[in-house]
Amino acid sequence: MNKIFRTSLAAIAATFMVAEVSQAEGIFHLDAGLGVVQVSSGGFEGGYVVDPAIAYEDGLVYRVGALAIRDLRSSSGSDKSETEIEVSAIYFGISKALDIKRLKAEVGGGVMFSNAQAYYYDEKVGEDSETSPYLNVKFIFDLTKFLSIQTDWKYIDDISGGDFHVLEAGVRFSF
Amino acid sequence: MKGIATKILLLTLISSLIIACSDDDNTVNSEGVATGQIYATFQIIADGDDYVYAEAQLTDGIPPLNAEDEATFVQLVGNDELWLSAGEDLREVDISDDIFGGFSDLEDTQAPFKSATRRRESYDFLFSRVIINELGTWYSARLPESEEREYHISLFRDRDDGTTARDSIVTLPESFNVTSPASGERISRSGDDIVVQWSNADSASSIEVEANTTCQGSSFDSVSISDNIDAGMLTISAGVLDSELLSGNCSTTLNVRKIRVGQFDSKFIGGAVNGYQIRRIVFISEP
Repeated sequence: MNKIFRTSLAAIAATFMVAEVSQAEGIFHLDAGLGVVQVSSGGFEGGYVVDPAIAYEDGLVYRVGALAIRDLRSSSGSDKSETEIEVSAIYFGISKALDIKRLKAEVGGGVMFSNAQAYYYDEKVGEDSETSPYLNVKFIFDLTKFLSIQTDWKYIDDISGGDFHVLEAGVRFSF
Repeated sequence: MKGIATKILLLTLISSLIIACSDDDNTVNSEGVATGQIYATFQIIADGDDYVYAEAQLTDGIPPLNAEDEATFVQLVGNDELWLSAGEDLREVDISDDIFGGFSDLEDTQAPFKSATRRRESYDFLFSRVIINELGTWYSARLPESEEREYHISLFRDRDDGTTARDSIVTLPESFNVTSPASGERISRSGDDIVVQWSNADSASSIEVEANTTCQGSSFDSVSISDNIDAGMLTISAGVLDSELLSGNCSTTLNVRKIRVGQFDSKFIGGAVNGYQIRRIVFISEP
């Protein structure tokens, strides 16, 4: 785990300790996000991400989600358009929800189980499975009691040699 | 009656025209040709820049430059692909241990052949060594030159792995430089022995030296000398370059070629796989 990740985990723990617990009863959320991804190593760029998840909120937010990263391509080399990495993952996370009127923030982290596949001219040249910790910050703005819009940032520490920043926008249905 | 005959004639002419335009009768799609029916012609050339260039031509049963019968050229379609690999071929490659870092090596060692129309200039200096028929469908690929000198050319055919031919191999002769004569040197065609020397003598290669002399007025003459063993030098005796076609001071381009013959995959009915290192220098030849 790198320094950023350790520092962030400490910040989350501190947040949990000082935040007041205000939720009286549990709520389910269906989150759906679309976004972009940046890899902090390896010379790769582009790519889009699809991120559906289900969460249960009861003071803390317990989340199970699936992450699909596609079209991640090399940013160098003459054949960059012919290189592609695909990542499919499921993740389990826990966050602290902080209410600020109609705006809500969630800060947390979790663990991600991923499978990365590498393609060169559509020929599969590598595959790797990894278990990675991740950090997550999410901002949710309530439109109605049931519908919200959200933005989401995830930092995933080391999937097959690359650290990922994932930035998403999406919607939430709550019930 | 006359009107009907005219229409029939017109229809026949149009049909003939359509058939003539659409049916390229010396090309056949690869899906209709078994691997065991394909004659594979591959050549790999390094000419001193930073890349290794490859050309490939697949023909139906006979070599592309065949004196007796006109060759039918095989055009790759569907999932049929030709690949050039330095070292292990694409289907042996596994970058699972370092997916993000592994791609850069991959781009330096694996390249697909693409349909080609124009030769690289250095191929023009192969002359008698030309084995590709430019009039037919042919393919080219290139890779950065590296320490690895063993090249694989693989025909991948996804419809049936048993027909995939991955074992056409050639080792490129070692890179070299021409050390003598010097570029721009003035040498007498009739009076001087021309001692051609080069670095990295390679006992596994044969050698060919070709001198092409062009004079004012476009008069031209060519002389070739070869040796089965690369001894690091070869002498063109005084007078050999001299010709009644040439007069005055001329420009002589000296092409030094090292050749290694490779092995085509036994799944093909036949083939040729050649590897070349080519260098050239230009000097002034005087009478």
